[in-house]
Amino acid sequence: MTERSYAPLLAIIAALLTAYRLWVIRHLGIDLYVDEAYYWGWSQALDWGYFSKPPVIAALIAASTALLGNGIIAIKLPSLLIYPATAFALYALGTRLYSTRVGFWAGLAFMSMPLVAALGLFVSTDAPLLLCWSLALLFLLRALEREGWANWLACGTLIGIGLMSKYTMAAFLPSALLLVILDPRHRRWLARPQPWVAVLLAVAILAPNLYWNWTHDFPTFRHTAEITRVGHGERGWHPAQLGEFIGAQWLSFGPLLGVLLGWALLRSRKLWRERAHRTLLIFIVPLLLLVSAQALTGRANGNWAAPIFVASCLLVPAVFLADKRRWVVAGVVVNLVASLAAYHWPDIARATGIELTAKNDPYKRARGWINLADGVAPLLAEHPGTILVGEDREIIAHLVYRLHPAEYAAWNPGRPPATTTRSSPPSPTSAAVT
Amino acid sequence: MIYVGRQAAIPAIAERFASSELLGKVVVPIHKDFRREVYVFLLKDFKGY
Repeated sequence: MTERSYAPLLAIIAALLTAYRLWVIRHLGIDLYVDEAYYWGWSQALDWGYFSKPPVIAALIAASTALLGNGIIAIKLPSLLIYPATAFALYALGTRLYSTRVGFWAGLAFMSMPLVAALGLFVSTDAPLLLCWSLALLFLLRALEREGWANWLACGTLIGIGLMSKYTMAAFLPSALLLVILDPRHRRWLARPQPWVAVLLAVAILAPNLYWNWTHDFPTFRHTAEITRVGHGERGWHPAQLGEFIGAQWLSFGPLLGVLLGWALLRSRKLWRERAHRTLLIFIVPLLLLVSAQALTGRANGNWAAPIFVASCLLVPAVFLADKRRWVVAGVVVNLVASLAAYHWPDIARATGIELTAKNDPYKRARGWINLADGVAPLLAEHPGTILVGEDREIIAHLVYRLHPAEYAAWNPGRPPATTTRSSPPSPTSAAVT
Repeated sequence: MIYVGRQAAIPAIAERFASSELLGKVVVPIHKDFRREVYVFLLKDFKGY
């Protein structure tokens, strides 16, 4: 008997949710967040690397804006489209590991996650990372169970593109190796060329970025080291940071789904006996432990372990749909209601007489930039041929996005002199005043 | 050069130039306790760091 396909239903929900998020961006009246303006600047001068991230995000924005212009929606569109695509990758994974029903609820859990609800409003490197992670896992599972090369090469390609999106993708490799080593049926692959060629392919795809870093004094690696405090003598014991990080994971996955995930992880020893559950745990626990250790000894942003949610979205319905279906449904509903409340908070505040302030407006960081740039524009226009200069990267990124100055530079006396032109800009922070 | 920053006075930067002139202040009110505000300066003849 063939299983019922939930793909059309998931497609309808994903399309409605994406259309609604597009509307929400307009309705909220938000501008770009600083990172988005910054990434847009990168997209105007495609290169193999940038100050803080590898190049995929810039390439995605460049493709979107080439088709649709430089409007806010065009810049945010790659993320808006990639998250539903990831939900379908999860559907395929769930179907492969369990059933179409688990795949459907995994896709729904992913689309409804607070992390995706929040990140879905702006373009970020997490979108391509999570898609590449999901598809790489799908092709890895196919590769392990079939002879031939195609799935291994697809897996290696996706790991490479994932690495070019965000270096966190590197955490996929140890989990994949664990999966091969821990399952006796898969160990034969260790003696075959396919997995190793897939790794070489991933490294080959990353190679241009490594070369770019090498020729630019490794800015992306130095930035990564700085934000994790590695090499800056600030390592220590930070239980509060760990608590904050774990809390962020719980909220990122959703209040109720987060409880179910915690419950499943507490039952890891029992779940480990089933092959499909074990596969998912291997793609959750190592990265979660690694970033938790990073949080405990240094600093970890809430989204640094985001790829664990790929397997988590599958594990929760797989474990609980059978005898606690209502909890899974309630978890998704709670997430959707929370997203609605967050998206419509300014409306709710208005309707209930609560005045929006700096303290209660979660969107304040994306407000006022276009008006600010439009206020600066006449002053710039009065002095044609001048270079736009600033030392605040947030201000410069937004002004460059809105005003398209012929030349701009960061005031950064510590850096070697270099101005930036529209035709050949590296990035606002890599330039300094001549 | 047109310098845009959050400070109303930029002596450390201005001293690197032969002349500096405040062109204006741009304010965008967002909430009663929150606004975007920048100062715009014209800087001429960079003398070096």
